[in-house]
Amino acid sequence: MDAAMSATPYRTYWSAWLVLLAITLAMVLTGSPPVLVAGMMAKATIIALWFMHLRTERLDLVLIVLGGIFATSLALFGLIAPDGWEMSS
Amino acid sequence: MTVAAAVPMAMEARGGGGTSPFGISWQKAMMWFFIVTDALLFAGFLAAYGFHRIAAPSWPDRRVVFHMEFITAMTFILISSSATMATAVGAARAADTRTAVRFLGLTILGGLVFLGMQAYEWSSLIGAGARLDGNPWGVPGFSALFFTITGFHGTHVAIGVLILAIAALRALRGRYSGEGVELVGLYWHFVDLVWVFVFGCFYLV
Repeated sequence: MDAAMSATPYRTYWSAWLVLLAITLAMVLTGSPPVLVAGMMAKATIIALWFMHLRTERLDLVLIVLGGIFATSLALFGLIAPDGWEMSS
Repeated sequence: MTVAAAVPMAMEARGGGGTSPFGISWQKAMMWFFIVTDALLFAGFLAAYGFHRIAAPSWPDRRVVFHMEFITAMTFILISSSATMATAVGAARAADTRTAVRFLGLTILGGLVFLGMQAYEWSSLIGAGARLDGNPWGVPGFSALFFTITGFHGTHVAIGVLILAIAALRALRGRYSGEGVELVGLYWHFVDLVWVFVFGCFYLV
């Protein structure tokens, strides 16, 4: 991991920065839910993989981090959101 | 084989264990675990926000409540500070102290500007009558969730600025390691990552 990270050129980070800004701008200008969801996921992926260097970590660590966050978040939303619909109807 | 001897071997065979779990240092592994648990805190907040949003018969119009250009500028600044942080980590890894300190300084500046803008936004909303228990837009949960979620995030940014300042001072004195700066970087990028969802869910939906 360390060697791969040290070899990451600075321009990679600044290219990622430009992409993040472009996605943010697209999200603000369109405001449509599908674009917002796709934009949030794309931005989170870019930050995690390139800025946090998750792409160069071992697969078991990646699975623990992403699996832990996504599985629990999905469970949280899945258990809580339906109650909101029930209350609103 | 004794149990004492078998346990380290089993750890090595699975997660790497020993002094290098998952092929990284213990410090870095613990930072990742902290990030996972902290992410779940914000997931809980955003799930609560989702519940309120779905359950509420109406919700304040974001274009009326927020200055979207201002919030977008805040977002740009935080994203830019992540890029400067990544550059600082790369420089620290390459033992380029001067570049590392310069970009740590720029990251601190970005964090301070973000905090200043958030303070301005908060004072604008408070000035308009928004409180934890009510607001002029008729949905009490709106301002309670807003102040709680952005307040927790802002606290994370403030702590990040403090840790960055300590890292920069240590680097100036030559008492730093590439991995130390990298750990600070992981935290800072996480703060940026959380804002992606706060910004998307609270300001754009």
